[in-house]
Amino acid sequence: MVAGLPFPRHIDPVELREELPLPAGFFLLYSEILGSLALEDWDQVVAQLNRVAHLHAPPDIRFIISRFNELLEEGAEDLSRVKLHVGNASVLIERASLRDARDELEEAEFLLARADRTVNDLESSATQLGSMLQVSPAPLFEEIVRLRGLIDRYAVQIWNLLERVKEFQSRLLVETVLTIQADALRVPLGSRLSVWGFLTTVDDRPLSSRAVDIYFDGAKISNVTTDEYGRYSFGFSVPYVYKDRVVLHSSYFPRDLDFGRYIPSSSNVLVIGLRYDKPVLTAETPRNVYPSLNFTASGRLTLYNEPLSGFKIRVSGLRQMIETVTKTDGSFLTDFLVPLDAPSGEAIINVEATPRGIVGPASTTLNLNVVRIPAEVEVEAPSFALSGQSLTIKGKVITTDGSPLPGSRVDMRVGELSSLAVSSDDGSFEFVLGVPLVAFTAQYEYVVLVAPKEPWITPSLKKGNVFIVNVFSLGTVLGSIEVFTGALLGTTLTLGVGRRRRGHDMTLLEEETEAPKHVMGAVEVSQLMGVQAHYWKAVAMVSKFTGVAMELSFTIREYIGLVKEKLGEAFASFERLSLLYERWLYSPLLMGGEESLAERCLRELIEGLGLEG
Amino acid sequence: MRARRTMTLGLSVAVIVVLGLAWVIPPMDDFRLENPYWNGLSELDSRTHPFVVSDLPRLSNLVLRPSDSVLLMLGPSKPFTDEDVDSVRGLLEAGGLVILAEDFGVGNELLEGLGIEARFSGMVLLDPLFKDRDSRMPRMIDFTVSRYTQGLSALTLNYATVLTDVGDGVRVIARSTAFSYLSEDLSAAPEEAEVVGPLPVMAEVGYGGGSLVLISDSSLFINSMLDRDDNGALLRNLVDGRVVYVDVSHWTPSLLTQFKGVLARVYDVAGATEIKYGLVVVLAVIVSSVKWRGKEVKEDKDEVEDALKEHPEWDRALLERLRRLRDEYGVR
Repeated sequence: MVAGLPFPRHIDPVELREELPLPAGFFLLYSEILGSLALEDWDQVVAQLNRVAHLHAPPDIRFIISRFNELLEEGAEDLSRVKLHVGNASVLIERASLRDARDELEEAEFLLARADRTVNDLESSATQLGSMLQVSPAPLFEEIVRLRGLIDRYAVQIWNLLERVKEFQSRLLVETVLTIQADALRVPLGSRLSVWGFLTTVDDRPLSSRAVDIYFDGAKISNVTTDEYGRYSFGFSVPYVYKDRVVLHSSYFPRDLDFGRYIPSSSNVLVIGLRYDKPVLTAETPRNVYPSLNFTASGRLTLYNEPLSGFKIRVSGLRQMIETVTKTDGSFLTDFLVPLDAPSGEAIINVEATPRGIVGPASTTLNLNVVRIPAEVEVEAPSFALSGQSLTIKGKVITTDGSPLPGSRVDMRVGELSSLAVSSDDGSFEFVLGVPLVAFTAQYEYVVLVAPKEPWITPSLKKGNVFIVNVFSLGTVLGSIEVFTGALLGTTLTLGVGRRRRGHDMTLLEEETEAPKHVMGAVEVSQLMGVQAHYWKAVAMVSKFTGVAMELSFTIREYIGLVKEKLGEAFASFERLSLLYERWLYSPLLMGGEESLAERCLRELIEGLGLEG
Repeated sequence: MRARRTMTLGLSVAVIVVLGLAWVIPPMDDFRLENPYWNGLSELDSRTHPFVVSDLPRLSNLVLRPSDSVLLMLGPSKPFTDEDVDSVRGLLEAGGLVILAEDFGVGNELLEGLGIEARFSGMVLLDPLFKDRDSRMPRMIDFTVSRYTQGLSALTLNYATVLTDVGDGVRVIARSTAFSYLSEDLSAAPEEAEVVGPLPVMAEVGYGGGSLVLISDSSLFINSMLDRDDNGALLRNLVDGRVVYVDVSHWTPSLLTQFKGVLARVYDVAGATEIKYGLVVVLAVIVSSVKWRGKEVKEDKDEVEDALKEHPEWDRALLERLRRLRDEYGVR
C-alpha cells in the first residue's frame, strides 16, 4: 500500500480466497428471473440470464449454479415455445385449419410436459443450492410456485383449444369460394383502380352481407360487404409505392354466426403492374478523400434526358447526412467533410433522390477511399563529429511520390540535445546543434520525428547514428601514440635498462642470471655508469681475451674462477674489479669512492691484457 | 594485514553482488512498466509500447499529434502541480485523449485543476454477487454504448471506488450492478450500506477538442487484471491505434526502484567511452598491482632459502644481512 492512502490500490487476485456469493442477493436475483418467467417476459429472462453468466461462484457450488442456469434457460425456451404454439393454434382454429391447429397444440403439449419436468428439476436444484449456501431457498420456491401456475394456465388453454378443435371437427363445415378482378392490370401510380369479386359457397350459392378484406401489396386497404349476389367492389387511388408490381387479393373470415359454419377462404392473387417515371441519378466524388478535408459530391437528376429541378437529394456516409435540392438544370452539389478519425480505406457514400408524384426515387452508391499517406523523411547527417563543434543535420520532408511537405513540424533529438524546426516550402529543414565540449566520446543516436501539418499524412520517424569524439580524449590518445611511437623507434637501450632494472629490483639472484644479457652488445654496456660500467667493460674484454663467455648461470665469483688461469697477470686487477662490482651490487650503501678504484682496475686490466691504444 | 585485505575483498564482492542484484532484479513497485509481477504494467507495456512521461510539464514536447495520442494516468499518488495540470489541459484542448484511472490517490486534484466537477469517491466499491473471487473485485456489466465500451460484456475491477458528482457534461459509460455498495471500512455488512448500486465507475468528459475518460479503479490494467473479463478489450478500445503515453511522474518509487534509477544514471555516465576505458585501465592497474605484491611477498619468504639451495656454499648470514639492509633502507 502506498503510504497515506486509505486503502490499498489493489490486491493480488491469486491470494484471495474464493468468497461465496451473498445468499440473499443470489436468491433475489434468481427470484427476479423466475418472476419474469412467470410473467412471460421472455426478453427480460434472456437479458437476466445473460447477466447471471457473470456471477462468480466458487468451484464447490459452481456446478449447481451452472445447472440451475441451464434449467432456467431450458424452461424459458420451452415455455416461450408453448405460448407461440398456443397462439398459432388459436389463429388456425379461427381460419378453420383444424388439422394444423391440432398439430400445434400437440407440440405445445409436449413442450409443456418437458417444461414441467424442468421446473421439478429447478425445485430440486434450489433445495440443493439452499443447503450448500446454508440458507432457506424459500424465496425461490415462491417464484417456482408462480411458474407452476403459468404451466397450469397453459395446460388449460391447450385443453380448451383442443376441445374447440374437436367440436369443430364434429360439425359439417361449408367451403367458401372468393374471387377478385380488377379493371386494369397495369396502372400509373395515383390513378384510380376498381376491383370486384364474388363470395359464394363451393356449390355456387352467393353469400351476401359478408365482410371481405381487400389487400394491396400485403396491406389491408379496405373492408367491403357483399351484396345479395355475393358481389363486392371497391375503387381506390393506387398508392405511391414505387414498385414495378404489387399483388392484390381478398380474404373472407367467417364471423359471428358464420363461425363454425363456413370455412375461411382467400381469393386468387392479381399481379398489378405499376407505372411511374424512373429518373436517372448520376453522382461523382473524388476517388481519394482525406481526413479533415472537404470534398464535393456532385451530380444530376434527369428524366428522359430532361433535368428534374427542385427534387430533394440526400447524400449520406462518413457519419454524415446532407440534404440538398436539384437546381433548374437538375444538378446538385454538396460539400462533405471527412472526419478526422474516419478509418482509412474504403468508404461508401449513398446518394438518393426522393420521389415526388409519378416520378419515382433514384439512388446510387459511390465508393471512396479515405487516404492517409505516410510522410517520408530524408536525413543527411555526418557519421562523425567533434565535441565543441557544431553538428549539422538536414533533410527533407516529402510524400511517397516525392512532393515536398512544407510546414511540417520536425523534432530532432541527439542524446540530450533536442531542437524543433518547421520544414520550408521545399520541405527541407536544417538543424545546427552545438555539441558540448564535454560530450563524451560515443555513438549517439539521433531521432528525427516529423509531424506534417496535413492530418491525412501520418507522422514519420527516422533514426540514425553519429559518432561524437571528445576533442580532449582525441588529444590524449594522439599524445599517447606519439610517446609510444617515439619509444619504439629510438630507445632499445631505454628498454634494455628498464628491463635490467626491473630484473634488478625483482630479486638478488636474478641479478646474476640477467647480467650476461648486457654482455651481448657494446652499445648496451656503454650506457652503463660507474662501477657497473667498468665491470661490464672488463667482462667484455676478458671474455674476448680468454674465450670464456659470461654465461647466464655464472655468478661473479664463478666467472672469476673460470678465467683465473687464462688471464695470468691481468687476473689480479680483474678480480679486484669483480669484487668491487659485487660489493656495489649487494651493498651499494656501503660504497664510497670505489668508482675511481674500479676505473684504475680497468686501466690495469687493459694494460695487463696488452690492449692499450 | 591479511584480515584487512580479506575484509576489503569481501566488502568489494558484497558491493558488486548487491549492485548486480539491484540491477538484475526487476522492480516490484505498483504500476511500473518494467514490473513483470502481478502488480506491474509490463503486459500493458508490451501491448501498447508507450512513451514514458517522466516530466508531465514537458508532455507537449513529446506529443507530436495530440488527436492521435492517449495519455494514461494510472493511480497517481504524487500531488499535481499547476504545471502538470496545464500540461494535461493543453493535451485535452488540442484534441488528445486522457485516461485517468484512479481510486484512492490524488486524481481529484487533477479534476479540480481542470475545473471538472466529477470526483472519485474514495470509498471502496464492493459487490457481493457480481465479482471475481471476492467482493473487492467487483464486476461491471452495465455499459452505455460508446466507442470505448464497444464489444465489452464485463470488466473486473480491483479495490475500486466510484465516481461522484457526475453532472452535466459527464457521460457515464459504465456502472456497477444493483447489488454493489460503497463501504468506508470494509467491515460493514452489505445490508448496512448507505450508498448502493448501480453506481458510475467510468465516464467520459468532453474537454476542449479532446476527451477525458475517468475510470474509478487504478488497477484495471495491471498484469494480474489485464486478462480478466474484457479489461484487455477496454484497453484496446481506449488506445485504438493512438500513440500511448504513460505518466510515470506521479508514482512513488520504492527504494529499490530509486536505487535502480541511480544505477541506470551511473551506468549511462560510465558508459561513455572515456570513462568506460578509463575504468578498465584503472582496474587493470589495481589488479596487476595486487598480483605483483602477492608475488613479491611469496618471493621475500623464499629467496634466501632458494639461493642457498642453488648455492649451498654461500653464507646464509651474509644473505640475510643483505636482505635486512635492503628492507631497512628501502633499497633493492
